[in-house]
Amino acid sequence: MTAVLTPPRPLALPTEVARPVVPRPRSELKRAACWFVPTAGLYLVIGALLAFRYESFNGDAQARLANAYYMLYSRDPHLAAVGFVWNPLPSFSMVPLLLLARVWPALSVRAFASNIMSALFMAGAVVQFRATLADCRVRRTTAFVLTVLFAIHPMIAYYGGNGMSEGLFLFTLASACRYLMQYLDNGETVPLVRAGVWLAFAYFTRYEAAAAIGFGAIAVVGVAFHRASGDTRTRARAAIGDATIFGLPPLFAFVSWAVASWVIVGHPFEQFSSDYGTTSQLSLMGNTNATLGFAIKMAVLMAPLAFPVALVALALALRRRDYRVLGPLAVFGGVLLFAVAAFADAKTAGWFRYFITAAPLALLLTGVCFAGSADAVATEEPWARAVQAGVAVGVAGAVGLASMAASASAMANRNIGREEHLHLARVIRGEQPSDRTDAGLFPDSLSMARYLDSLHLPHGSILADTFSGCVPFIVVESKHPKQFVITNDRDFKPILADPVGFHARYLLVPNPTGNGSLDAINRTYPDIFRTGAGIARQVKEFNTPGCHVFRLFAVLPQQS
Amino acid sequence: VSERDGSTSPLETPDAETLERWWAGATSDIQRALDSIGAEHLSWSVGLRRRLQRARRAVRRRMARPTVLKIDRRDEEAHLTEAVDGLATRAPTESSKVLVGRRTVQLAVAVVAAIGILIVLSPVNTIIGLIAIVTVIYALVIVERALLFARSLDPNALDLVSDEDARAFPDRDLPVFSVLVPAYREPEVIQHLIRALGALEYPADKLDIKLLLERDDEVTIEAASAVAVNVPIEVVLVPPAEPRTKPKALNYGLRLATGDVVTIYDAEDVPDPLQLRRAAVVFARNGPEVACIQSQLSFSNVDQNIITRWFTLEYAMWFSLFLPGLVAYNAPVPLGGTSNHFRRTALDEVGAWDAFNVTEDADLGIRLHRHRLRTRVVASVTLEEANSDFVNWVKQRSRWYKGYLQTWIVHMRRPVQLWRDLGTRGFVQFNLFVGGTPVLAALNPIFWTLTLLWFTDKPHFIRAIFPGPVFYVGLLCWSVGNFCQMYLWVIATRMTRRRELLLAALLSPLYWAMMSVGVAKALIQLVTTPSYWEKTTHGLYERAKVGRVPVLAGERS
Repeated sequence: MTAVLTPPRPLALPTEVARPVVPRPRSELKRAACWFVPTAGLYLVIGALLAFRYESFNGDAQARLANAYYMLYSRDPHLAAVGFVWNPLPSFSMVPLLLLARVWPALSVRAFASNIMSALFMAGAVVQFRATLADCRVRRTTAFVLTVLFAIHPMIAYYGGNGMSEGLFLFTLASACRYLMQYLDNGETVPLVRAGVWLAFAYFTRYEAAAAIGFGAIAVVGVAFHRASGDTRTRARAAIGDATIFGLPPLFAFVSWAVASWVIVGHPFEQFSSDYGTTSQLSLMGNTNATLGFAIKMAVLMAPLAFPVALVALALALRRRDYRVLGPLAVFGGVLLFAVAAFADAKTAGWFRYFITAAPLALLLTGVCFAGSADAVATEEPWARAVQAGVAVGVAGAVGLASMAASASAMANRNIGREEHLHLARVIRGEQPSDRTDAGLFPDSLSMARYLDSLHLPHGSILADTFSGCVPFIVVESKHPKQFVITNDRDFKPILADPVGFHARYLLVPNPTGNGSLDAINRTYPDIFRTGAGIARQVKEFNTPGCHVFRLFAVLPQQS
Repeated sequence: VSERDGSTSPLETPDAETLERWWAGATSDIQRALDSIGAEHLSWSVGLRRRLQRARRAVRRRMARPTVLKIDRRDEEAHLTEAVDGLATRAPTESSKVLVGRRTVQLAVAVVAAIGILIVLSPVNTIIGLIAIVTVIYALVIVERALLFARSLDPNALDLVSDEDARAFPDRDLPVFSVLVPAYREPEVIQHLIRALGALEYPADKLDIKLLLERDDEVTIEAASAVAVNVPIEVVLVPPAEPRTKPKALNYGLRLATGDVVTIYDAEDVPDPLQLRRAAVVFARNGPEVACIQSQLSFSNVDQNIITRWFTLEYAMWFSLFLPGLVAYNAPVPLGGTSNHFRRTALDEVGAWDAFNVTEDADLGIRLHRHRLRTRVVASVTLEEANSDFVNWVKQRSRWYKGYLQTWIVHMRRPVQLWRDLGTRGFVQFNLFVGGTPVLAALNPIFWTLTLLWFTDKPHFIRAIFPGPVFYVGLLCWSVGNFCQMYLWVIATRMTRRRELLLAALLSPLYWAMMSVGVAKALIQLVTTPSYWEKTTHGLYERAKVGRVPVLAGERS
C-alpha cells in the first residue's frame, strides 16, 4: 500500500447528527411461517390421502407432472418437452421434486410431486392473503377469522391437496394482489414492479391471468392519473409510465411464451389451436349448460356474498378515498369475470374450479371493509372496541361460512361440481365405481408398463401419443422411459409419418372412442385400431381397468 | 492579519495589485525558508503557511480578474514530478504507469495458454465451458443491478441535505474548499464556468478556486485572463508534460491547494449553488472514515436528441440508483469524474490520482475503499453537457471503458490482496461493475450475432457449442436478461422522476449497441495507447439554452 503522507486528521466540524433508522420488519417472516407450516401440512395430508389411500388423481395434474417428467427422463430430454398446451410454470415447479423420483418413485408414479406442489403453493397463497390483511391494518381477530376461513374453504383445501395448478395460480394472484394494493396505497415503485412480475408468473401458470393483468392495468392508469399533480400532459405521462412498469413483465411473459411456442411447435397459441387443446376437447364434450345464467350461478355458489361485500367495500373506499379496494377487484374479480364471460360464451369447459377466485375475492374485500381497524383500537372505549370486534368477526364469519357452505353443496352436485363430485363422492361416501375409467382413479397401467419393459427394446422403439389416457402413466411407470417415442419428442411427427424408416418397432394405439379418437396415431392411420391399416400387425391387446382398450401393433417391414 | 473576518481586513487598499505582488513574494520566501530548514511537516509551519495563504486570498478577493499563480521553478519541477509519478513511485502496484508488467504478462500468458491447450484437447467442451462462464457472469450482472436498484431505496443509501439545513450550517464551522477545475483547450466554456462558480453559495474567504490550465494552452489562458470574477480564482499553469491527462493536472493542483476539502469540477459544469454546503453538512454528519462525497451529475441538454436522452437516463440511474446502492452495500464506489469532494488528508493518504489512468475517478474510488475510507453520495445535482454527437459520444465512452479496464487490471494484479481489502461481496461487486461492464459490452455483439444466426440459419456449429442445458440457460439469459435490462431502464424513469424519458428507456437496446462500438475502440486503444486521453468536445450545445445561470452583476466583456 502507499506510504502515508500525513496522519489522518478529522475535520474540525460539529459532532454527528443522528440519521433516522428504519427498522426492518422481522415479524413478517415469523407470521408467514406460522401460517405456512400448518396450512401446508393440512394440504399435504389431504394430498397424501387422495394419492395413496383413495388412489384419486386428477388428469390435468398428472399430465402436467408427466410433461415435467418427459423433460427430464424421456428419450429426448429438452426444455420444450414441457409442451405448449399448458402454461409451463406448474410443470417447471415440479422439476426439483421429480429429480428425486428415482429415489422415491411415488413422486412420479403416484403423481405425488404434483400434490406437494399444490400444497406448498396454496399455503403460500394463504400466507399472502394474511399478509395483505396485515398491510391493510385489519384487526388481528378479524384477519385471523378471514384467513382461517380462506384456508379451510373446501375448494381451497381440496385444490391445495389434489395437485392441480390452482394452488400456484392463487399464490401468484394473491401475491400480485397484495403488491398492487400496496402500490394503490402508497404509489411507490417497488410494489408496482412486484405486482407486474407476479402477474407475469400468474400468466406463466394460467391464461386467465390475462384478465387480471388487463383490469390491473386499468386500475393503475386510473389511480396514477388521478393521483398525479400538474397539467393533463404530466398526469397522462405518469399514468402511462406506471402502466408500462406494471404491464411490461406480463407482456414479456405473453410474448415470450407465444414466441417460444411459435418457434418450437409452429403456432403461438397452442392452447386454442392444438389438436389437444381446450377447443378440441370442448367440441368432444358438447357442453350444453353454457349460459350466462349458469355461469353466474357457479360464481355465486363459490361465494354467495361476494357481490354485496364488493358494493359495501366500494362505498366505504369511496368515503375513505382508499384506492386499495381496486386491487382484489381487478385481480381476483378480473379472473372471475373472465371465467363467467368465457363460459357464458361456451369458450371453456366451465369447471367449477374456474370460479375459485370468487372465494378470496369475497374474503379479501371483507377485510378491506375493515381496513385500518387495527389502528382505531386504542382510541375507543373498551365496550365500543368489543362491539366493533364482534361485528367484524360476525361479518367475516358470515361471508366465509356462506361461501364454504355454498361451495360444499356445489361440489356435491354432479351437475355443477362435476370434477369434484367425480373424485370426492367416492372418498366421502365410500362408493366403489364399477368402472375405473373416468372415475379419477389411478389406472392399473403398471402391468402394461411391465409387459413393455419385458420386451427389452432399444431406445425409441414404441411410438405412443401421450395425450391418450394411460400413456403418460405407462411412460412414468416404465423402468425404461427412453424406449418410447412420445408426442413431446422433437422427431415425433416424422417418426409417426414413417415408423419403419426410423426403426420404431411398435405402435401403442387406444380404442378410437371418446378422447381416443384424438390420438395422433388414430388420426394419422384412421383404420389402424381395427385393421392395422396395412402397416402393422396386432401383437397384444391390453384391457386394463382405468384405461382405454389399448392394442400394441408391431410395425411391418416396408414392402417395396 | 484578521483571519476570520475578511471585510475588516487591513489589506483593503486601492493599490491591491501591488500589495498582492509583495505578498506573493514574501510568502513564497517564507515558505522556501521553511522548506529549507526541513520544517514543512511541523504543525506550526503548516499553520503559518495556511495563515499566509488566507491572507493572500483576502487580498485577491478584491481583484477583478483571475490571478495567475506564480510558482518558483524549483517548486514547479517538484510538483510536476509528484503529479506524474507520485503514485507510481510510492505504490507501483497501484499505478497504471506500467499497465502490463511482467507479472501481468505471465498471468495473461498462463490463462491464454491454458485455454489454448484445452481448445486443442477438446475444442467443443472448452467453448461450452467458456460460454457457460460468460452466461453466469451475465446473470450475475443483471441480478447485481436489480439488487442495487432495490438497495438504493435504503434510507442510508443517499444523503439528503435540505436547503434549510445547508444554509443553517454556521459559516465559521465550514471547512475551506479547494475547488480544482482542470481545463484543456476549451476557451469557449470559461465565461460560463466563472458564472457557475460565482453562483456558489459559500463564504468567499473559505473558497480556494484553482483553474488548472496547461501552460501551452494559450487560447484558454487568454480566455481565462480576460473574464471578470467575483470569487477568488487562481489560474495554475501546469507545465506541459506527458501524460496529458486530467489526473496529472489534478495532482499538480492538489500540491497547491490549501483547503481541508478538495472539490473537482469540470469547466463546463453548473453545480447546484448549495452543493459545497451540502457536502460540508454530510462530512459533519459522518465520521472521519468518510473521505469522499460524490454529487449527482445530470445534463442540461436532455431534449437535444435521443442520445442525450439515453445519456441523461443512464446518468440518472448511475447517480441515483447504482452508486447509492453501492454505498448502502458498503461496496467500493467508482466515482464520477466531477463534483466529488474529498477530505484533503484522505487524498494524501492514498496517493491522490493515478496520472496514467484515464478514468482516474473510478480508480480513486476503489483505492479509497481499499484504504478503509468510505464514499457517500449526496443529493445535489451538477449539470453538465451531454454528448449529443455519435462520434464524440463513442470517443468519450471508449475512454471510460479503457479506464475501467485499466482500473480492473491494476487492482486485479494482486487478486488475493484485493479480496482481503474489499471483502467477498465488495470483490465480486468490483469485478462485476468495473470489469464486467466493459467486458460484457464487448461480448454483447458476439452473442447477438450468434442469436441472429441461430434464428435465421440454425448452423450446426451453434448447436454443437450450445448443448441442452447451456442452450436453455443461454436462451433464458438472452431473453430474460435483455428484458430485465430494458425493464430496469423503464423503472429508472419513475425512480429518478424522469418520466419524459420513457420512450428512450424502451429504446435503450439501441444504446447498448452504441456502447459496444465504444468498447471495441477502447480495447484497441488499451493495447495501442493506454494512457491517451480521448478529449471530449464541449460546447456543441448552444450555451444560451442552458439557462438558469445567474448573470454576474457588473460583468465586463
